Amino acid sequence: MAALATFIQQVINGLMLGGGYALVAIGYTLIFGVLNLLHLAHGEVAMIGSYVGLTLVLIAMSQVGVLPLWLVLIVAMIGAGVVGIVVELVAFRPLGRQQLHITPLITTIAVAFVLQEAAVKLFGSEQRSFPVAMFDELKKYDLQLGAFRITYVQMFIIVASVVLMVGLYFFVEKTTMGRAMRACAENTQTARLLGVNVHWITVWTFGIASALAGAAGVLIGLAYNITPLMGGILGLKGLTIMLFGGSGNIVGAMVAALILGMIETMSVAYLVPAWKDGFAFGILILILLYKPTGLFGSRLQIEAGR
Amino acid sequence: MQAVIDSLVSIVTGVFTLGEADLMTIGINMIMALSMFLPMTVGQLSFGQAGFMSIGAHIAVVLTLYAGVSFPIALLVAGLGSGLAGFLVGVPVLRLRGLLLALVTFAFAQVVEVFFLNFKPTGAAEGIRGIFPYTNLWYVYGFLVLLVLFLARLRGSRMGRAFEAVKLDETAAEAMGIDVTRAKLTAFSAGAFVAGVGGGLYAHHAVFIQYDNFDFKRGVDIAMYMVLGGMDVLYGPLLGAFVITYLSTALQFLANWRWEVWGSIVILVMIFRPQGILGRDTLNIRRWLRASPVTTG
Repeated sequence: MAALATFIQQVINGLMLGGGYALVAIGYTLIFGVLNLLHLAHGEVAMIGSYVGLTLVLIAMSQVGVLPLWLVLIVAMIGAGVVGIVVELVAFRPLGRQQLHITPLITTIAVAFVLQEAAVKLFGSEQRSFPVAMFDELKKYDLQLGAFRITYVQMFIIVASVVLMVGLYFFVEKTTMGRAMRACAENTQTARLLGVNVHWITVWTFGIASALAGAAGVLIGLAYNITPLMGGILGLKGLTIMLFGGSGNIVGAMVAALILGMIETMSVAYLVPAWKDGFAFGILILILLYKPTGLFGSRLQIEAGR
Repeated sequence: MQAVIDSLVSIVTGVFTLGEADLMTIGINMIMALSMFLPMTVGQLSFGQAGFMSIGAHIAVVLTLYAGVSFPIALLVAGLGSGLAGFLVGVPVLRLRGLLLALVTFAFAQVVEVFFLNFKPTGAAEGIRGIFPYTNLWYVYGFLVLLVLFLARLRGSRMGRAFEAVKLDETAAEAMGIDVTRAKLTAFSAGAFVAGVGGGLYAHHAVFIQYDNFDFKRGVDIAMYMVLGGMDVLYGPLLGAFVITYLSTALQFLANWRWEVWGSIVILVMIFRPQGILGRDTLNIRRWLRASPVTTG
């Protein structure tokens, strides 16, 4: 029975981690799809999002008390979205579209370092986490299922990531702007000829993708810790998942994120924890070599080098 | 204002008063930059040089520290071991191009890092201490000069022209009878060899190595040397490695704002000179500020 409870706990951990990863990976997919560019500061944008959320919670605790989590999430999303748009205007827009694929890689790495430094300066370099008082306050909403307990925060993480993913899916598939985004992903020139404002769509894509990353930052921050360095590894995981699920494929990214989240938590619980990151990168190498379109097929032709 | 001018002057004059340790670091970084430049001569973007550096460093250290092998031979074996790793990695990996190749080589470097983090014989997470400080300026710059001579000779040679053709257009090169796979594998393994020797030199200069000496940041640094300096000409990576290594110490006076200034410099260079500071057109003054189209892979 205890073994079963541990297992269920691990499944829940995997779902939480997978949900957070999925949100990062979907942002990657959106940006990669529309611009055919890798945004290597995407994880850092998520990190900024989690600090925005943390700061808001701390300020609110001292002034009015515990804020509802969804409000924290929305504010963090807006903050991260704004940061993402600034990144686009500073590090992508001036490069033009006809550049080498390595130039945006380098500029976004530079942005990543700057964001990391900014976070160290503003929030300190030590590991932070959401205040214990907040978790205590939210404890009254916990669910008790027999011997098994799901906390409100765990439920919130899972539900919020699912809601955001479903919302994004319908946004991309059903709305006019979503259609314009897909048109840009398919062929920018044609989209432009057909009257899509590509610049505007690019800005929006960055905003939305970064907002999702900000949400992921808060959700992962709720489950684990927040450090200025969390962005790097988060971005890499997001990248792996994007390629795993098939770049440009939103549903693929969701499934792949769940798989990777599960693999990671299970390997920590039942295998060698030190090799955790090795698994992710091993998967990345195997996918790139043998199935570059990902598990579920890629909607885009990956530009194999210019 | 006076303070700013003073510090700018001290940056320039500081070049002439570099200590031996700084010069060695600069030389090793130049070697690493050239190790990334080698695959670039066939248009292959390899982000995994830090991984090959790590392999070379660990092989060399194990040889000198535990087997008592003399330093030059240890360096040679480190290079060969790392080159062999490059060959083995290259066989499956080199059919990818551009961004995907950059990603897979980068992932390889990460796997190497995790491997040495868990590899007990080389101290796992603790790393290796007490390495003999064998590296001196003669070794570093001797190897660097040999490397530069080799690369300069390569450019006009039969193999160099084949590399150039593969870089410009793989299909056309193949149609002209060039063995594209062989050219790519040669350049990639040679790059790994150079990175391995560079790693050996680094280890015997730093005296202490650990898995995370060769992490993501190291890989990014190496890429920056090449990309900022200029990836089209041999002297680009050399200049990049020198300027970046030197500035990262000379910009100390900016203290807290070092990374912000640094990031802006990188972005500005990329906007105005996407092919790097030095390029084929460097001597052509009129075209200097115009971004010329660059060809890769």
